[in-house]
Amino acid sequence: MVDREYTGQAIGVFELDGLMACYVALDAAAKAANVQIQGVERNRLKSGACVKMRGDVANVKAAMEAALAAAEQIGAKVTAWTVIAAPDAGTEAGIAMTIGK
Amino acid sequence: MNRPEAYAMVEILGAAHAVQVIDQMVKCASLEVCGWETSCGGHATVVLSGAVSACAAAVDSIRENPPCEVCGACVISGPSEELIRLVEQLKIKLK
Repeated sequence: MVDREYTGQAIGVFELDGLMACYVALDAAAKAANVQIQGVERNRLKSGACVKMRGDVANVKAAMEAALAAAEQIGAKVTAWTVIAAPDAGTEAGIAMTIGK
Repeated sequence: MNRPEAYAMVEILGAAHAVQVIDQMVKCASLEVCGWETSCGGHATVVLSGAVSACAAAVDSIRENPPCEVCGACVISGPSEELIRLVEQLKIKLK
C-alpha cells in the first residue's frame, strides 16, 4: 500500500481504541485538511488501531485536531497521538515497516 | 466505479457475529458488502456501502435488536477520497 511517495512530509499518528472510530476520525481528518492516509494498522491493543497521516505540517496539525474532535464526539478513547514536523529518513523506514503486515 | 454515497460501519465482538450482522443489515436495506476486518482484539468491523438512508436504516435495525454485543455502529455520509481508497483495499481482500 506504500504506492505514494511520503519522504520529507510531516506525519501525524493517532491511536484510538476502536477500528470503527479510526475510520470515522480519519474521514473527518481527510475532510478537514489536505492530508494523505499512509496506513491504518490494527495492533495488539485489545481492539485499537493507529492511523498515519502525511502532508505538510499545517495540514497535519489541522487534521489531527479534527480527528481528535471526531473521536471524542463518538466516545472513542484516544490512546496516543503525535505530530512530527520533519521525520528523519530512519523514522521513515520505521513508519512504513508495519503497514500491511 | 460510482462513488458510494455513505458507509455503514458496525464493530462487534467476534467474527461469527460479523456474519450475523452482515446478514441482518443486508436484509434490512439494499447495501453492498464492502468487507469486514477482524482486528487483533477479536473485534470485527463490518463495512457496508449504499445510500445514506439505507445505511441509516441498517444501523438503526442493528441498534434496535442487536444480534450480539455491539461495540459501536455509525454511518459516514459523503466519504472522503482517502476513506474510499482504504475501503477499496478492503474490497480487494473480499474477492
